[in-house]
Amino acid sequence: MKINKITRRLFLQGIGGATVALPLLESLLPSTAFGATAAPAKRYIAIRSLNGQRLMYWKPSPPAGSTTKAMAHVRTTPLSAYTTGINKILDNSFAPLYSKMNFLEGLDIIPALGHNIGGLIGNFNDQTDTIDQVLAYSNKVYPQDPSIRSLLVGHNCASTGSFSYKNSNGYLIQLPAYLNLQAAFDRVFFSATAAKTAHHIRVVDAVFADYQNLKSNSRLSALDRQALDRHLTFVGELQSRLRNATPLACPSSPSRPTMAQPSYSPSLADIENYYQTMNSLIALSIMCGATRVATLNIGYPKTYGGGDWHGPSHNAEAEPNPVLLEINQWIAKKIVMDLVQKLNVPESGGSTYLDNSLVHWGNEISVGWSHRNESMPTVTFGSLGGKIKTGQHISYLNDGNILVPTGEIYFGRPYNQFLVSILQGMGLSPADYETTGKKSYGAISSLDAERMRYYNQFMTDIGNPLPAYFIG
Amino acid sequence: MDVKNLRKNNHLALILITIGCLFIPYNNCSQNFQTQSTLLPGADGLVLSSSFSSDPSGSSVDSSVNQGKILYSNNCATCHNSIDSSNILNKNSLDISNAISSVTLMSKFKSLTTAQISWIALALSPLPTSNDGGNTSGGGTTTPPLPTAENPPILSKFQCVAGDDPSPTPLRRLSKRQYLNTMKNVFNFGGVSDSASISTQVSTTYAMIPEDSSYVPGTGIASRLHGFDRTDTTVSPYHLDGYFFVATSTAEALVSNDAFLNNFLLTAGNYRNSSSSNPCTGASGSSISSTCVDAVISSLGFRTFRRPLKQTEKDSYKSFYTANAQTGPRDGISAVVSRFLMSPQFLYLVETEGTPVGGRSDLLQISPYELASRLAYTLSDSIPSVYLMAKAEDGSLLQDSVYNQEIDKLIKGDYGATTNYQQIIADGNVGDGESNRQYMYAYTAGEIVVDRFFSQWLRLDDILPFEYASKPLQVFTAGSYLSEGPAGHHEHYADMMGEVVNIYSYIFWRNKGTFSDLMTTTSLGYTTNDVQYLLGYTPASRSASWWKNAPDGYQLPNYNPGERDGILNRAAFKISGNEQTNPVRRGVFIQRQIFCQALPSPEPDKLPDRALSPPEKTPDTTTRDRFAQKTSSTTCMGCHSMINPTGFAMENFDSVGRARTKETIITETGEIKPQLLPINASATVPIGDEIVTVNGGSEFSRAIASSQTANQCFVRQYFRFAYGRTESTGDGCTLDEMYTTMVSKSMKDMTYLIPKQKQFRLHKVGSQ
Repeated sequence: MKINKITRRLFLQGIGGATVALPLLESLLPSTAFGATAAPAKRYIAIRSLNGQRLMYWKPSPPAGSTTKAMAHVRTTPLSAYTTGINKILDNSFAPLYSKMNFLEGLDIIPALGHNIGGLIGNFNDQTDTIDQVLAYSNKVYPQDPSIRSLLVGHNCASTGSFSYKNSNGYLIQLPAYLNLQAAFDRVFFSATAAKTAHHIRVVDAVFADYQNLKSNSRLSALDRQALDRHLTFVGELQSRLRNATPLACPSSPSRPTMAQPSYSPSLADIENYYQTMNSLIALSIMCGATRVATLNIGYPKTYGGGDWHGPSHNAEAEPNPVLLEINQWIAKKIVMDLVQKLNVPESGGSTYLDNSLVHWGNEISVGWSHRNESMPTVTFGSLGGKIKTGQHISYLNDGNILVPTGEIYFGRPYNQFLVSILQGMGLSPADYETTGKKSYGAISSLDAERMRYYNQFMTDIGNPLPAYFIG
Repeated sequence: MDVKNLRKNNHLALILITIGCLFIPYNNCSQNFQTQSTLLPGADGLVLSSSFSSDPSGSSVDSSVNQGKILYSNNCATCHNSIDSSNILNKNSLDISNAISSVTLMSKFKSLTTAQISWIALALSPLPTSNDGGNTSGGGTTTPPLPTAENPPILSKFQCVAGDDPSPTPLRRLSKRQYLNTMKNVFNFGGVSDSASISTQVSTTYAMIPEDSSYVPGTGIASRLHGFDRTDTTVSPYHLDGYFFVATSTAEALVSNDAFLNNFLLTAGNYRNSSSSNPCTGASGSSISSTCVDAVISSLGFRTFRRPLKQTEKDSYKSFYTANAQTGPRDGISAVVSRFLMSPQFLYLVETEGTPVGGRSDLLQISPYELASRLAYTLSDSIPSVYLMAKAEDGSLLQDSVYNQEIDKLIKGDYGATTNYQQIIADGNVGDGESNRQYMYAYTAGEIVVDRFFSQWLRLDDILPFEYASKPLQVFTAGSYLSEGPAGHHEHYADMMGEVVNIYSYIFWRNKGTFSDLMTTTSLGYTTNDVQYLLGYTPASRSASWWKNAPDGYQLPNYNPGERDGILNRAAFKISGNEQTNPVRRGVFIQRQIFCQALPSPEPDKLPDRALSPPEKTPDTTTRDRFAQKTSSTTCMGCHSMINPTGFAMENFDSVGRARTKETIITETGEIKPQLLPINASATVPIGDEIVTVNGGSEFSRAIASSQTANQCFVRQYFRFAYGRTESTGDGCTLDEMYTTMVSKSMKDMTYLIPKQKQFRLHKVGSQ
């Protein structure tokens, strides 16, 4: 495998050719070529689509005799049993990936959220960081400072926000996402020469001193100094990253994307190109060691019928909804599968980058028209280096066919356990994320008595990873 | 219209209103809260003073405040400090009721009457209203009459205590917009500018700066932006990441291009250079003289620090240049530029150079340079122009005539042949995530800023687009060209937004109107035929760009009086996205934005199932009744007793803005139910401590126009936007002055007033 060093000029001009050697990150090199023995790093990538689903299109029909009851409220079916596709969205074109993927149904977000931008990754009630940020700031995920802690890309309707949230100084910030492919590229592959890094370190060191110097001004109030202290903290983080970040080592030469963003009225091909370039950027960032956490927001609404899929998702559940079906099939095949395939290339020891990752595709709502958050259709790819048992359809729907109050769906198991599976699969222990003294991750309560009566049976288990899914 | 005073007569309504939201995060203080056994004797564990009056009705507001202070002092101060330093300032009646409902150790206060709670709230208000001319707030004991020619509206004022210090001036970082505008203009000096070119080179990096949209956890959009982008002072690792990459990318773009670098050196050498020779003549990326470096540092320092550098600062930057130029002059310049662009003096509005007032170290008359910055960032959201800085440098800015001229220039854009501010205007449309819509009819920096206030105050970016693919909506709007496809839908939505912009621009600039005018206007601001298809009116014959500054006598066409009086009854504010109205959304918007009520967002994990979803349609029930039923539980009513009537009063408009007297029910499959349901738009609405009973949007808007709460709220909102922070106890005189000017003259006059206010030139240092 050819390892190419990345230079600033290369990226800005979109040309290759620089050859100055950089220290290589051994864990990113193929063991066959370099004899690396360190365990590959684990990565987490979340993909979010918007506006709700039509669960009938996600409902699998397991072949007779293929399903096993693993325990109460847990039934597993090997994906290999599905000879004609798992459901209408995950059709037979996914068959080559069955051994590396899972389809989960019956995962319920306990609070009644409706639309909730960060719910997919744990911000159920506008109070908590999303799990990608928990991971991004964990020294277990990053024993050494990365070039970029989390790569947030994608389009969120009209805003520049991602679906990631992070607390800072007591305020919750919806983090910015890169809509612009070139901006994202420039950020990931910004600078790499030792001389350039040294130059940047000198700048940031001077800036740090400037803030400290201002802090000593007697005409500042205590609150002003606190504000400067907060700023200094983050300058300090920047210093640390510049000094300690793992140098990039890429398996191929990245080229700066020629597209920045689709036009106002893009063609379908433009949109596909846009998201597939984002996929390339995510994959390359992982392979180069730039990051281990990424989120991709699929919010571009300009394709089907000339508008968004919010309207169609409101139409009645029982009514056929070919637009919504087509949109989800398009996302599955053109975006999700594209990313998965880009990661499913050899990394080390016979494993692929995908094997050592978890690619998680979900939606903010399960039943679109009624804005329900039970049985969130959840698809994952990869095993986090063996932490996740793959090749399964796992149903966590209750054995007694107990319906939610509106009757269109069965109760399932708390989604929190899925989040715990990801966090622990990435190497975190409960002490790393149960910071409020509450078991598990994310809100675990609802004022609705009927709902809580059902979910109470899971409360003793709420802090554990999902059974049949997480194998530790 | 029947406007009633329900404070005395309708206890049920008041109880509902003040019963409290269970969801409000409140300062629990449970460890230190005084237990009942330690309370002084009093009914139900309450401590009443010997002078306590159980019914001060008819007394002045001062009396109510005093009673509130006594109640507070005896019962609340142990946990929440004395009233002067209370940690629950600003809590209103609803907040207090919520706390009593939800905090176990406060349950002993459940016997407090509504009036008593309101007195405590008054005592906690940093801006108590005063009795003025007989139209008193008095804890809301009277309701203002409708405005008429004989009975002009709004007489009460903010409380101004002469001699009080202004509130402390916090260190503020530039908003993202201010930062972007500054970045795009900082290299504009010396007569030749490459700012636009450099900015284009690095424009993609601007996306790395987070939007100013953070909020307090648990409050949702209630505190989004802290009101406005200027008041969001949050800093995060992502901000630093962005600042770093913008700064270093800019510096590297500058030094890596010979044309940029040479031009930059020449202009820096010439800027503020009194000698006949330019020290940077002949300088290039391979050779830069020491005197040229000095000039670069001095010039760029002047632009980025927005004041002359001190000698120690010059020395520091020169040493820094030398250290970094070991590998070549380009690296030296690049390092200097990067450091300037990340410095606290650049990213924050630092005001430490003022002159002590009366020898006091904590009260400063800000320096002319700081005044120039305040002026520029307040009125143009950008760096002071070189011309304004020159006025600061020669001291002429302190002359009233010059200062007033500069205000005019910023607001009116009267810069003659210079193009500097044209750049600012163009910048507003470049890569900063804000749609062009907001600049449709704004031409000068000042106009853009005013437009920004209105669009953020009215939350125009939160108005939902149409779900035109929805079958019910298509059926509902057949014939209006609203659901004829994306183009049709887009035009209607844009036209509705445009009408709002047109109306407030017209009222603000052309008519020199007041808030009351805004709330009672019948002007029609559409300029396209969409209004004919949808509402049956003929559009304005002239384009908005003409009539905003039209000659005296020009009038916009009008809607029928009484049909949709006031800007809040324009179609844009009625959109729900689909064919059903959403009175809750309407109500929350008005309570928060127009009445300044701190309604929290509900916490999802404390809600009944599907509480956040609209109620399901039924063929024989109106939207109003369905929302009322859905929110009828005690849990919901804590807040919805305020929200629902506010929205219900506008139910005489459908979800695309058409006036209606009947409601049509359409199924999800597009079937129109045969029966039409009669609309009930009568409601008893709390406007702060005032309560009005109205029937329909026009009556409601006219009641808003005459409400002191709403007028005060508008002034408070404008204060927050202009001063970049929320108001506090020391701002009474400033607010009072703004209020008086706005009510007696116009919103425009208030805008001109702000930079002339005493407080605008003062910097109060907060506690050390």
